[in-house]
Amino acid sequence: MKSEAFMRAVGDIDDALILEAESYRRRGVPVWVRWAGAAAACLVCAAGILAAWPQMKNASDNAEMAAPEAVGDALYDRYYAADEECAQPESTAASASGKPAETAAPEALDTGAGHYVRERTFWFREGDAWRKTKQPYPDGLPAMREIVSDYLAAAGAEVRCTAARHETVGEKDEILPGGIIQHTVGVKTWYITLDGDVSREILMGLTNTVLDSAANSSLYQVHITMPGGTFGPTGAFE
Amino acid sequence: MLSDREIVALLFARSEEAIAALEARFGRLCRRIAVNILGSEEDAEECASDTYLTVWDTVPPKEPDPLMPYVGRIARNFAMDRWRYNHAGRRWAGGDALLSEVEEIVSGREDAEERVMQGALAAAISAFLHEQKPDDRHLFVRRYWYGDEVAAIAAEMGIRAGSAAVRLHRIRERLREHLIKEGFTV
Repeated sequence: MKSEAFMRAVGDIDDALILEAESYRRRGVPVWVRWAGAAAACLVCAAGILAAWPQMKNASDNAEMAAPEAVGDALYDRYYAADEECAQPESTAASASGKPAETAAPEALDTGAGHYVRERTFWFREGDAWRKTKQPYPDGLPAMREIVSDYLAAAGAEVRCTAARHETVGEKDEILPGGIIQHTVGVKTWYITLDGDVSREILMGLTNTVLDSAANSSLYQVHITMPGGTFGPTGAFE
Repeated sequence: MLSDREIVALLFARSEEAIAALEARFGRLCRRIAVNILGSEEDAEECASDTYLTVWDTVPPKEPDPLMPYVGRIARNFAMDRWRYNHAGRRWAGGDALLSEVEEIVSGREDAEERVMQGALAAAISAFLHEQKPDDRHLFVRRYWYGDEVAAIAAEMGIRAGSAAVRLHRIRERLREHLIKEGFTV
């Protein structure tokens, strides 16, 4: 059979089929359904805007008051090797009991610079949005020892030091000026052990130097142990 | 615009107003079918004029009801004849495309009794189409009787042209099976 013969046969199909095709109307969605859909979409949008309005307002107010702040270090727990126990803040307990922490804290804590990654992740709050950034890790144990040694040498103290770092797993909230709540995940404590006594002024200056070397000093504490006692985060000898 | 009955009445009365009435009522349809097959407005216009004259010559004695398929069928046949005439010298896009598509259904071999069988074949195709879903039926008739472009049919039906082409392909496959089952040599 030739195609043309087939096409001619198609030309002779029932009149009803031809009329049906000519009068075909697509079965569209009823008008009332379209209007109902549009109205529902408008309601959802309005409800969403109303629900989000207080947060948007707070965010704009906060943005005027404060620059983006680091409020946590979400990946800090990854800096430990899988088989290494994340030490608890024993130094706090030791300090509270008046017992020097030089044996408890530094040895039990992370003392290997190799355990630290070179980047850490900070979450910044900008308005109502959270932004994740990576920053180079500013310090390591050798670097911290060097910083402390340099400071002590500059201060004229013939004192050698060892250093260790401990990161707590807990979280804390602080209310900053302007009513902003800073939520901190994990607090890092530098444990610095000196092999001799130095003056309180030197200890305070050393503390400030260590904190200044950290990217965000609000996440750090300095705990210095020496034969005469310990100099903790509160700035007092214990 | 006059109704079918009124136009037929004019034809029976041998009133020349019937030609103008045919042009007003079916001119657009005739030109559309012819252009779809021939791809030429000029040829389509001639087919339309020939169609009105043929209707004038055949009514009476015929008394077609409804009138539209009758007129459209004549226009279509004139367009096919014209296409064959034109095709002897060169190729035309519209008819070529239609015929190349239906070659999926038929083999292209000349059958001695195919002319005789044309009426039976049309009846078999009609029976097949009546069994199809309305949308598929519409797609097939619009494509192969009216010769409309697939994209235009798809737009009217609210579907994508690709989907319409796939559906047409499946309809052709089913029709081929149906015709073989009915004993036609395809």
